[in-house]
Amino acid sequence: MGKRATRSRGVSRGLAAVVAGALALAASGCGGDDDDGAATEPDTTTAPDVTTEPEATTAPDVTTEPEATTAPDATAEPDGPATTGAPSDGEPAPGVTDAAVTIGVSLPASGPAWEQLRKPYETGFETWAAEVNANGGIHGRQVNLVKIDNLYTTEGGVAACKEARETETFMIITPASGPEEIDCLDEAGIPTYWLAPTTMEPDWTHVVGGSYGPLLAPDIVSFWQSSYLKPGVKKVGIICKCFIPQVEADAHHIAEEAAKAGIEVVIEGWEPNTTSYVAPITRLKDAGVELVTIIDFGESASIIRAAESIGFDPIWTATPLSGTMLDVFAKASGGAFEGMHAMMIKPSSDTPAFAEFVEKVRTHHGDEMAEAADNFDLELYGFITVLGEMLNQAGPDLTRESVLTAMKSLDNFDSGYLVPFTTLGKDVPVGIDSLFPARCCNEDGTWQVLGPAQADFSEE
Amino acid sequence: MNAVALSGAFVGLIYGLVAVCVVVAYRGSRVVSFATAETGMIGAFVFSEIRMVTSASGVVHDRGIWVALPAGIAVAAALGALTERMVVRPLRHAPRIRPMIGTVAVASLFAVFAGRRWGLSPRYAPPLVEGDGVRVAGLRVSPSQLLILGSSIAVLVGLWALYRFTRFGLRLRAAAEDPYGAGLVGVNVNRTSMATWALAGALAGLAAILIAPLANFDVLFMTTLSVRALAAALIGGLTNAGGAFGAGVLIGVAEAVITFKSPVSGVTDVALGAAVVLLMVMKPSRQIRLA
Repeated sequence: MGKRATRSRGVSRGLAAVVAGALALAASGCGGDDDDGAATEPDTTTAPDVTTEPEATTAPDVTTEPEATTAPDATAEPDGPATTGAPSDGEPAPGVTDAAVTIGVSLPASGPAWEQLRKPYETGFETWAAEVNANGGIHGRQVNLVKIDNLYTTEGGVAACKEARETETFMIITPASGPEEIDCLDEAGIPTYWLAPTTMEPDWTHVVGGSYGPLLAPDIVSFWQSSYLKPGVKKVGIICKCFIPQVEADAHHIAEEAAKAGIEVVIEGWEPNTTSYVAPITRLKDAGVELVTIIDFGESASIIRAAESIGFDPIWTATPLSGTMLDVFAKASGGAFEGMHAMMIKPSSDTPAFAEFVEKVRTHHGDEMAEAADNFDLELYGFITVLGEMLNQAGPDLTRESVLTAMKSLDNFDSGYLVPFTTLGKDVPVGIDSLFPARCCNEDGTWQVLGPAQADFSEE
Repeated sequence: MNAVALSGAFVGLIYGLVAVCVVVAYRGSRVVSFATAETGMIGAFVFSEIRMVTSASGVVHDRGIWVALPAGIAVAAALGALTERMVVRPLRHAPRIRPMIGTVAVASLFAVFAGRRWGLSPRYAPPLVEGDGVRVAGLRVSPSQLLILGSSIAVLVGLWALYRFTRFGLRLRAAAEDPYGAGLVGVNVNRTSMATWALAGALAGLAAILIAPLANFDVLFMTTLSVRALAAALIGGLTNAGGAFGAGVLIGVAEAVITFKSPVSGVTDVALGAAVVLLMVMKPSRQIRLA
């Protein structure tokens, strides 16, 4: 991937659907710091009460002694080459001790955006950390997740990077960041796992991405041509929130890929601050498109209803990173998504994987959180299981170099909670290139996965 | 093209209805309320909470609208009255800009409360009336849209009658024009002002409840509309409910047609801003009296 994608702030449409809503709330004058999310005060969030587990006898009590885990004593002499996390030259890896490894989670951790991310963070990330720690950690080290507030702004991201550099943070996982922050982290040599990158620069050496729009474009085009949708389709419409540059760039990536397959794509967008979608939909209808893909932050139901109102009944689909793919939007659509096919990066909520996930949430957080778990929570859980595998493959002698090697060599790692993750052999180290075919809706209004994950649907 | 314009007109009904709420509050206090949208939004969420009840087994039951509707409207009315009592009244003698800014703060407060209470995720808002609707000029008009049309007409006629034929309407006008003089002739200015804001709140609640099934029903759904609605109220002159409503419809039509004709995003906002400024310049007598 030699071509640089548009550099803009953003997360996946699914993540963005919730973050953007929160930021809109902030922009409307409703912002305010959360009481527990100050940017300069990293917060120990994993906090499984390991004292209740047998394994905890050898681990620090991260619940009662957060200082011990958020700021490990970097000056301590390594006790031994195999267990301290020190590289062979004796230099200890930042954030790594015999007993623990500190992972920074960079995200908007205060204000309205955090209010929206709190649940998936706690349900997805913290469940994983609690589970890992209850089982003795990774290579004997407890995992401490430390929130770093990037405010989801350029300045906040740079400040978050600075904080990561100056504190004992071994590596960063980030569900919502901007490229400036990632640039900074890369320069600082901090291994960074960006779940939904908006760009992947070829000169980055310390960054691995999760789901990346441009690399998924071929999958999307092949899905259009599969038996799930319309084999032989010649003209496709994309309706998107195109006034957001990243969304527009995604649409054009897909259109370029479609052109290679001989498919003409018509791209239409809607206006900011509106509830009116009939105009762009009418243009798509007039253009004679047979199939329409939505790239949205949760506007799909209104778009589909607008099409119905003018008697336009194309085949509807959404991109895997659209807000549409979140169950919360499917449920809120009031049946408007019924019959829509799309692709997902995680199992649906009617699968055994989701049921297992819910039981894990129940074990570590109780019934209330388990009952509220949804496929967005599962997505974050799936992403962080990949981080666990990176740490696992890095081995007991944990260094930034060893984890980077592991990050870039994951080969078809299948946690069962996300599509298989592969970073081997790519032009850019991005993990996801296969997708689950899915259809809406189950009886409870949620998405339903139809088959195994694949990158090429043309044989279907 | 006809369908596009007509669909814009129905979207414009929404803008117009919200604009009317702004006008009602303004007529009673000479204060432009920036909290109208959020007041209505809370009413709509109360309506939704009472109407759509989730059982312990996770099944959602529709309890109907007969309790939820008056409750949602009443809560919005109470919030309107509270805004008057806590923000507008204490600043009555201050420059007009201050209570206006006060309503911005109220809007923020309501939005933050709603965000924390109900989250930012959308929820399903079933229509108040079912049916297939009617097809006009190539556009299927849904029963929800027809309900908004009918309700809007009823609200406009009701307001006209209220202002024209009732003592309350007379007191309201007097208190708004000259609070001191109205007080001298026995008008309870405080009570009149609060009643006006309660009325504006109730109408905002009704509007939000009617709009919710047509929008992405989250805590920001009214905020999204408020830009256009405020523009409609300004174009309508802030004291003319019919004018504001008509301006809302015109904005809806213009938005749809411009979007249809122009491939460039953002043209509608530019055109709308230019229209507001132009109108202010051409008809200075209609400007908001901020101070």
